[in-house]
Amino acid sequence: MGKKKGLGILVLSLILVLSAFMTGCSGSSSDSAGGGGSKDVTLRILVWNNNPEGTKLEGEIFKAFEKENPGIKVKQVYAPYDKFNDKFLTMSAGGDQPDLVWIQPAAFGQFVGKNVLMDLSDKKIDKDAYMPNVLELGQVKGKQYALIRDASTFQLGYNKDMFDAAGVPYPKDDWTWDDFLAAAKKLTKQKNGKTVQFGMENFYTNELLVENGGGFVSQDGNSVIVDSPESIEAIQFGSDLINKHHVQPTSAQSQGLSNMFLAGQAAMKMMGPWDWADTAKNAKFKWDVVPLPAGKAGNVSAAAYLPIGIGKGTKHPEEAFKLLTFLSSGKGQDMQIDTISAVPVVKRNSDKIETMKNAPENAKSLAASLANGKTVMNAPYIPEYAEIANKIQPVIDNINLKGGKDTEKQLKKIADQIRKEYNLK
Amino acid sequence: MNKSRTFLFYMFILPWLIGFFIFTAGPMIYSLYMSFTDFSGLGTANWVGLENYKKLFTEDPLFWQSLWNTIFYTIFGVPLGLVVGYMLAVLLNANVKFMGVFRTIFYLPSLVPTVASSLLWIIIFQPDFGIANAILDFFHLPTSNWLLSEEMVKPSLIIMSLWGAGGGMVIYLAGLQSVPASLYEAAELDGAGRFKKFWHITVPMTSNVIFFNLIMGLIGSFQIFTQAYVVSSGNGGPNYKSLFYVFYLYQDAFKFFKMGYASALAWILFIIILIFTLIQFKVFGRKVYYEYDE
Repeated sequence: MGKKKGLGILVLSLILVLSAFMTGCSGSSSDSAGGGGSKDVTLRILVWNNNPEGTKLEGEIFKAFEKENPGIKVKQVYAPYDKFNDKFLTMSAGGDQPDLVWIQPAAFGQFVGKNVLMDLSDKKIDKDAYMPNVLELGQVKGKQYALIRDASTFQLGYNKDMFDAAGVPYPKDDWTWDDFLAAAKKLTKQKNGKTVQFGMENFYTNELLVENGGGFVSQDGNSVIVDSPESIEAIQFGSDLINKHHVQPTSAQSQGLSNMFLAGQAAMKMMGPWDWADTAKNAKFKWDVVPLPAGKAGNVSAAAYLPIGIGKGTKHPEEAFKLLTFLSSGKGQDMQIDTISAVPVVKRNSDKIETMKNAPENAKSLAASLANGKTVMNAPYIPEYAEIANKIQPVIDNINLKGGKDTEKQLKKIADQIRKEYNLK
Repeated sequence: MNKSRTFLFYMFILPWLIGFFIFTAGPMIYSLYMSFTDFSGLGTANWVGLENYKKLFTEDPLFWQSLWNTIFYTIFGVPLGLVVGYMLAVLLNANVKFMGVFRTIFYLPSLVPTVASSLLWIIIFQPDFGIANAILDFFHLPTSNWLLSEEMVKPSLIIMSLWGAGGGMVIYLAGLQSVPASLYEAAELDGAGRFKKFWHITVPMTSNVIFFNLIMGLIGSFQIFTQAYVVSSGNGGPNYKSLFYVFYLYQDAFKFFKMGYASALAWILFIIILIFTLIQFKVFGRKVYYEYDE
């Protein structure tokens, strides 16, 4: 009797365990199929958020694609910008790869090296549609791994009201670091020993390096240049903005604050056209843009472009390529001008920058910078680049934190360490 | 009869056994194998022998940095956590009105998800407008950059961990309540004061709970990850001073995709924790009192 009862419980528990496994499996497989019975194909595209307004508007482009292509649905999957690459690689390793993926140029080489992107070289690409040099941005060693959706660059956005109040003339398109520093000093205001208004929100190290002809690793990926005289000078200048001139907040002063520019706590900010919609909507002051101030290399800035790739593991390669074409040379290129102010990469829209939606008065300076080749590629497409950048950044953070008294020594040290570890010049 | 009981015993724990072998032992053995390869998480794994371990010990300064950070955090954090939790439990074991309310208040922080409490502490420790510096400033004490300072980031994380001492407190409370009142009465008759009662009755009688919390605290402390990840925005700064061992392991596995290397790190941590736990059993094990002792 007792034995029988035991066996009954045993069978029951085995059934429970097995059924748990079964539901586990079937649950995940129906997830990835997406459509749930109908024939619809659902494409997942992994994207990051530039700002809340941009993300909302981004969806309209996908809606237009869905309308044009019945039977294909597009789902955006979000990841924060600084965790983005980890997320994509983890999804890829876990067999849950999104069909399409936005790519940060600094991680492009790593993605190709890890073999997670589809080679698009044999696909039908309308090569004549693009502006010069755009296709090349999506190529690694001659193979096409991504198509570009927008190609632009960073500028400085500035608060005109603050400039007026401080009696500082508006910056000119050919201004220099000295001009910038002089303006930033006048725009920084203190009250009771505390800074209540900063001249600059955060001058990205990467842009300082480009403006001065420096960088982390040379564009051919062969040599470490973070300890070149130009790089040292640029990093020192960035540290001085914070620690010597006090025109930019320390990480302590800005910790926990987001967008000090919009909040009226900083007079200038790094800004790309993708920020225009958000700024136009939320700024309670007059604002405009201007090219970045010139270091030794002139009024140049890092090329900021958006390659989009197709995951190698996609089950819907044709549909995915259809969407990619729509975004990078199709109707998406026309739509993005009027929604998210993303600079188009196709020839037919090359004159649209100044009239893009939410374009500030001096948008023509952006058009001029792009047309005159004032943008610099500075993320070599080598597999190790993301890792190298990850190792250099903490050193620069530390220089900015500590006041940069031994900038040169610290940079030489990390540069030599990286040369040794990655076998570079 | 006995045989069928044994059979039933194994049958009853079968679900657990299946789970253990599929979800714990299996992956562990797999990761041991992986630690001898250059597996990247994607693609194939090539056998590299002891290369990963060699690189760890001889070429990787971050391995030593992260190990030191973790040991520092453990050496100061665990004993402090034990003392604070125990003292709270002793106070909250008294017979006062609204005791339930007080117990709830002190236990609540340990229920707050780590990510949420870490975000909260970022604001508390904000050097410019955070409440920590405001209080110090009010008493004219020197202020600090807390989470942004190389020297203070680990102490700050220890302070954060003390906020969650209520978790251990509940276990102590249970232990304290199981101390028979007769012992205290006997000691009082012999003229023992408060402190003597505490030291000679309360502490020894609850030594098993303290020991339990010590081991669990140590294991948990060696695996600190989430708090450090959140307060340093995922980079272990400033200057790698909050890069703890598991944090570094995570970076290697999921940021740089060096799964083989990360597996080697994981196995070294396993061995470290094992050694520490064995040492504790050797040192304290005999001094611990269990009610069911022979």
